[in-house]
Amino acid sequence: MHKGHINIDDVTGEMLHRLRFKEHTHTVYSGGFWDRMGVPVPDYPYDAPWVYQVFEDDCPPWVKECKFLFPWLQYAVVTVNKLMPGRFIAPHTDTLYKLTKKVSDQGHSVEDLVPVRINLFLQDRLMGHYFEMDDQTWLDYKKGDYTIIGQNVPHLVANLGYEARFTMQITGYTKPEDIK
Amino acid sequence: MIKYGHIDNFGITHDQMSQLNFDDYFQCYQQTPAVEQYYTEHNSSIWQMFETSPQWVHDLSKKIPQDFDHHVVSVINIPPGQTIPHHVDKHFKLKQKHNDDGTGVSYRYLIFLEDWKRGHYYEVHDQPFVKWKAGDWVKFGIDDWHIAGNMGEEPFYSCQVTVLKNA
Repeated sequence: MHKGHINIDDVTGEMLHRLRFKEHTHTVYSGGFWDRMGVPVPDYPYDAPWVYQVFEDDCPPWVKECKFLFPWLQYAVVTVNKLMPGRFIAPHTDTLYKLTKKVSDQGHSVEDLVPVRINLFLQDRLMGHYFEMDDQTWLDYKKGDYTIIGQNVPHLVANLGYEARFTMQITGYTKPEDIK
Repeated sequence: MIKYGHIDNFGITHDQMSQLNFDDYFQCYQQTPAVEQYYTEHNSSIWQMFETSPQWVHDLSKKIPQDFDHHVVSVINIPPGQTIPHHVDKHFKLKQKHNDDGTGVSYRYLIFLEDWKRGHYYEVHDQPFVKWKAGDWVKFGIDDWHIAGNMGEEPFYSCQVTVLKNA
């Protein structure tokens, strides 16, 4: 698992809790992951696989500015996820829909580039907070740690604790050799 | 004190798990205000069986360290999407059967019945425990707060051997 770190000490808990999330997304179908795997959709309880999200244009300036912490990423879009206790995002692979739409709409050429998603942890890991990718877990992360999620790599996250779990996803294109 | 160990030559099969006839489905303990707020019958319910467990479950009590005088067993199936939220165990069945006078010290051996699978999670005292193998066990006390959950697509089976060492 790729692991990196950037300094986001100026991001406070208050800033996270003041975020206004515009969407509440149900993840049980995992963007078609189960269909592609050829397995039935798990019988998850309806109330569990939910995540609050705020995307790109609805994000405050401090969120958008985080894109510049990764200058090797081009055409980046940003999302913040808020996972409440007792909720999870079921196993899935990312479709990168908003990124591919942006690149298509704006007519950018992405030849020789690969799409990547940075998962940036906005808090130190708290009790019951869970990150798993390709059957590997990362359970001692600190605020500012990040990993790279490849386009077809299954991953899941969960919050089995007491406090909301905040992460930022910064998605863009890059040359593989530029990934840091 | 948390202790970890492993049962060699474990030999329990997935078929044995699949044949378990659970008879009790219930919502987990709600021991803190935060659990009451966020964990409901919809996201924190599990299957469990106690004395009606098959013989192979009872036999597991002979394969762990024999540091006890009495014990009870159970099997838990955490279905996909369910969490056993932060809690301590009460050892109720053990006390009911073997410890009327409240003396002695009780512990729980949690035995993982299958290799770790995607989305299966256990944490005790803020220490995550994943990637286990079938037959791995964790021993912990009545004051040790812990969590388990299943965000994967397959049931999460475990056995509990709750033990009492006489005073």
